[in-house]
Amino acid sequence: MASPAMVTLISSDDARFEVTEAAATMSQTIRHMIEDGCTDGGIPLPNVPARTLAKVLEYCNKHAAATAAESSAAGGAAAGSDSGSSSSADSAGKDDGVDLASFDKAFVEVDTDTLYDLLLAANYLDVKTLLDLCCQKVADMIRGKTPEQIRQTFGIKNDFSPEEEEKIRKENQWAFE
Amino acid sequence: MDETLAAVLSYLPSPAVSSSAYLSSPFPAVSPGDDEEEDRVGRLPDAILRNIISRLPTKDAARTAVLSSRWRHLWTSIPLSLDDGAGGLAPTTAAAALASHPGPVRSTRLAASQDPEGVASVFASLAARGVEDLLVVVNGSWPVEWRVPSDVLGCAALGRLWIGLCQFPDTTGVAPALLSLQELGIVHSSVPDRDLHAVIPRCPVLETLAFALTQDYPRYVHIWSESLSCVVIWKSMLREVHLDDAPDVDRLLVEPIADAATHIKIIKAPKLKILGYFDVGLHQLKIGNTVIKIDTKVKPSAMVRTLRTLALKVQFGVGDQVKLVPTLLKCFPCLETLYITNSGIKLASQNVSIHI
Repeated sequence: MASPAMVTLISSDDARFEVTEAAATMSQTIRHMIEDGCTDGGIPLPNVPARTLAKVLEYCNKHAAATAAESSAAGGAAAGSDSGSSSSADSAGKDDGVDLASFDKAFVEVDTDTLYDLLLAANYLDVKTLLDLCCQKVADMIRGKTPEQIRQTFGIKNDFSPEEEEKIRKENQWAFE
Repeated sequence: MDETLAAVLSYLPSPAVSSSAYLSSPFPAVSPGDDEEEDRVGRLPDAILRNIISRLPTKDAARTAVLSSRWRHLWTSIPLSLDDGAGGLAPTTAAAALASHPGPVRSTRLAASQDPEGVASVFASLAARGVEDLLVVVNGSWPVEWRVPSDVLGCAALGRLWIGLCQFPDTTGVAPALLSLQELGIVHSSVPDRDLHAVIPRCPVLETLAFALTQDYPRYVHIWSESLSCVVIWKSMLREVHLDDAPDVDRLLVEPIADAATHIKIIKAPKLKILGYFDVGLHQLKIGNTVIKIDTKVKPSAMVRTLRTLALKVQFGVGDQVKLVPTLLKCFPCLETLYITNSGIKLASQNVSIHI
């Protein structure tokens, strides 16, 4: 088996990351750059600092490996038993779904600043599943909380006058019942 | 009734928003005393904030308008989703949300309700707002008599419609125009045969048709559809399921229920790949004009060569049932996978090669 194609990514602070093309192209932005042939000497990502890029790539590596394991398992599963170690990297096995779900859950157990960084990076790099994961995390932190609690959690400054706030609450009175 | 409701809810598709915060965990709030903390969440692009709000139950989503001026108009700028993340939104809440949100409606999951009039008023708004995804459960008094308003048949944007514990809309004097409907599900609800067969041919892109736990009506399901690919009959008391002219149907999925001696007739289904469970003791199979019985000589006209997967329920202690199996298999000469269940025990497995 040929070794997988690798690409080099360069963060805004000039750190270089070598990753498989499969992991890198989970980012549609990077995929388009590769398709356009802009890979010589590495792909510059001027909007993403090394700390965030490392985290994003941790996510992409895990998911790309799981996808590869899934497709190879699907190819050979018809023969019956598909237990035993597959040739793919990582611990990707047949209970991949559970494995990935717990990976995802743990992955977004981060402080709010890191979460914002991930949201912006996922948005810029166009990694849809990661963007959705982070948005879901924020939504889960909002759900069931009062506006005061949400403001406190995210450091949102209430710039309404008491009268304005009261007016908006009245407009949506049903949502506060 | 509560048990029935729980069963019906279990058959309906999952809510668009999750009922519990599955990614949630104790989370460090912004460090207290740090009042000048910059509002980073507020500086996220609109698209991200909208994505976040679209994942919230309706009330939580609406409450974000009061957070700050940054959030003031976000909720009303995304399509409305009416959902409490659990059983469904109460009609009165849905009506209030519709009144305070101007936009189109993406999805609606209306609650079990004792208030059919409330639901009716919601429907009038939904039809006007181009709802794309609609689930209705009405838990009225037994028998379920409340009928979904006919407005729903004119929802041209509707892609998915599931109804539970109520009656299908009356088609009298209505020209159904469900131009976008891809998925129609009927759970423990009554659909008069006439209404069902008035609607199906008028859904030009319908792909999935599912019945679960239906009782009195429909009695017949006759499929004439260019677009349907999957028909599901789950524990439903149907007398007949006919694939009359179903050029795209590749799956006919059946879960038998005692006493439902359904006649399954395959007339024109040139892509049918998967069939089952066919209950040998309960169902009757007719292919073309041939009823398949123990002593039937299976002619080419009574074969379905496209079928790859067949699932059978057989009582092995009953001779007549066992004897019918070889005849049935002759009808599907290109079978690749056979499942046989005996009294709930799965015996045989995949990739049986069959030599007849």
